[in-house]
Amino acid sequence: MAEVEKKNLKITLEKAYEEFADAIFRYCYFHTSSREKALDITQDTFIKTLEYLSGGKDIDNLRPFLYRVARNLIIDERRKKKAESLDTMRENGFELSSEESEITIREKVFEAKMALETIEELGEKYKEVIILRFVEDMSVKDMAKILGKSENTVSVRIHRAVEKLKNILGQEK
Amino acid sequence: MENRMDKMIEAMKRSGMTAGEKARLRAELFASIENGNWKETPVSSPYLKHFGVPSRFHFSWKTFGKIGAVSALSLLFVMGGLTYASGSALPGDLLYPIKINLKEGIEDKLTFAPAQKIALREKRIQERFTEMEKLIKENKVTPETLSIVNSEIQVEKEKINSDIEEINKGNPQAAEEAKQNLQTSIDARQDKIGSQIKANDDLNSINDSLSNFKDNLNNEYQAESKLLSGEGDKSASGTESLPAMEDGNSASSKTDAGVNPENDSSGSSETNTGADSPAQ
Repeated sequence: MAEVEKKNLKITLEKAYEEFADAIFRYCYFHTSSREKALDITQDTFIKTLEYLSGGKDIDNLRPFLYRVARNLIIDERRKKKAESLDTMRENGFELSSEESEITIREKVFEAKMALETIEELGEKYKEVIILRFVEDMSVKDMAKILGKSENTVSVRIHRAVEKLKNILGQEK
Repeated sequence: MENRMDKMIEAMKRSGMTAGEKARLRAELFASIENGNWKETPVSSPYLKHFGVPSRFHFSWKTFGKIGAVSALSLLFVMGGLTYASGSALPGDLLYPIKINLKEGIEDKLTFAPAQKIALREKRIQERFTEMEKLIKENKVTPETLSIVNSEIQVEKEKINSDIEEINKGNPQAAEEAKQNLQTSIDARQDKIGSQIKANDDLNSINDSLSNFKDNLNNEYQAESKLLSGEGDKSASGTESLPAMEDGNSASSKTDAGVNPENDSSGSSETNTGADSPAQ
């Protein structure tokens, strides 16, 4: 591959990383319940995207493409081994940077743990749509591309996921 | 409740990478790229796409499956076509082995009960006889084709015997009946075919004799014509050459020799020999 092309690829990847890395990490984290695994999968997602682009192929819409790659990697990861249990996660805790204040970190950790516990009760199918729709603010059209379903199916699933989440949250009084 | 959901969603939105994690991951990612820890995908030819040829760097079970399915279907069509075409094949034809081994082989596999098998074998033997009749009609009977048909009939007869034995275990009377019926129908047809072959042989020998007679006649006529026209070797066999004729008579003599070969006594005796042979 020509040096110029390589350079262009790196620039593209850098832009994509700055824009989407956080979102991809969040998506991976709430599916794997493990911060380390989420970081690894995030890194692999960008590398796979780079490999795809190096074949001369174009990506119309990078955002759903990245989520699709991440989703496939998560599925592969699940097949290899079971995701860490919430208990293990609680035992291990989070390895957070010391740049943020300890209180902020603890609050974040607490909130994340609570959210994770709640969302785990939804089941994979509904958890996924809640994360993509409400946490990542993704459109139904893009979600349909990522999940490989029709827009109608995605809309119905979102509606049912919200209903179920409300029931869960209503029971946690 | 909506409030709790909103709070939960907000909490989840804040659960991204920390600044440190992001920087660390970024450094690792681009170091990995610099070190070449990624596979550069070769650019596939756009022309190959039109032919649906899979790139050798991108093996896909889906494409492999498609190619396999098309190949299997094509093979099925070709075999089906050959089997259909072989239906009218006669012993000695190129497709005859396909008729015997493939088409009739499949029929064998699909027939289970002994009684049904016997009926199928009888049908086969009758089919062999029909083939024989066609060969006789088309004058294609040779020792090779006769041998082929005979051996196929023998094979079917042996199979019939083993099927009859199987029936005999449970119902000896039915087995005996089946045997008698078969014997009657096969023997009758076999005799008829035998006569036809013999008649065909005789006919062939008559044809051969006639053909030889004609050839001999033509040769003698040509030899005589040469002698009469002076082209033959008069000095070598002086007693055999005809005396030189006068001009007035030479033309009519030549004409007689050419038009009426029946005047030659040697020709008529050969004709009689040929006509007598069938009675012998």
